[in-house]
Amino acid sequence: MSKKPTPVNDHVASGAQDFDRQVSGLLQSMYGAVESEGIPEKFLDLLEKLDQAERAQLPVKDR
Amino acid sequence: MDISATNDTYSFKHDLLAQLPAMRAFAVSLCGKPDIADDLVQDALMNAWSKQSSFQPGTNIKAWLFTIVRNLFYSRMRKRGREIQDSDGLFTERLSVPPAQIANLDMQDFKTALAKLPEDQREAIILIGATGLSYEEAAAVCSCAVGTIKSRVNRARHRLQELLAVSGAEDFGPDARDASVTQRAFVG
Repeated sequence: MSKKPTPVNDHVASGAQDFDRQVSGLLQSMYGAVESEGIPEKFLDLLEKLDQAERAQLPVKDR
Repeated sequence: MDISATNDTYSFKHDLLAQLPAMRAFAVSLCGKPDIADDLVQDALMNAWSKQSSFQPGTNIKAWLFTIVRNLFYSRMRKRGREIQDSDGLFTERLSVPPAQIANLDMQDFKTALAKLPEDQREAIILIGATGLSYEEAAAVCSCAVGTIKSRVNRARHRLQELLAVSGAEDFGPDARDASVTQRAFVG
């Protein structure tokens, strides 16, 4: 920021900010679309199995 | 009420469930392919479960899980070469996702450009721009310095700007001229 702002620099800066906003929006939209899909059944089953397997082994002392 | 305190593993399972949508979103964002992403998440879940004793309750489980997803992703990539991380097309396959058009950048162009970024830049801009992690947390996920994440994010932004300015050049006459000015301004 040592350079004096010129009209071109101002324009570039606001263009860059606008671009960053758009990129953020697109990233969040892409990510959010998957995040809002909910949890597929297979993962719920997997966690349930892992949990049950662990309970069956209790108590686990060493290791 | 809260499911807490039924036994020692309760909250870990509970926390994993709570983070699963984010893990999937991160995995898809990283590799661009939903089916491969879900394989990755499945392995990450089993991996996380097997080493849950190394997780310190009270610390950031999201960052911890993302680290596992990320490390698995890269170890698979190393095994398969570039098979699961190809430059064009993979992100575009995910276009069944609702098309988000923001101003003059559309999702398809954006995903194609994102897929062309070097991996370190892509993961940095995803972590910072989409996942809600802080720079410090993203740095922990990537095992690098905060300053490294910042510079990767900056390089990713500039590279995206170049890629999207070039691909959009014919579409937006006057904007294309502005974009080339912008590009030049960021070089060096």
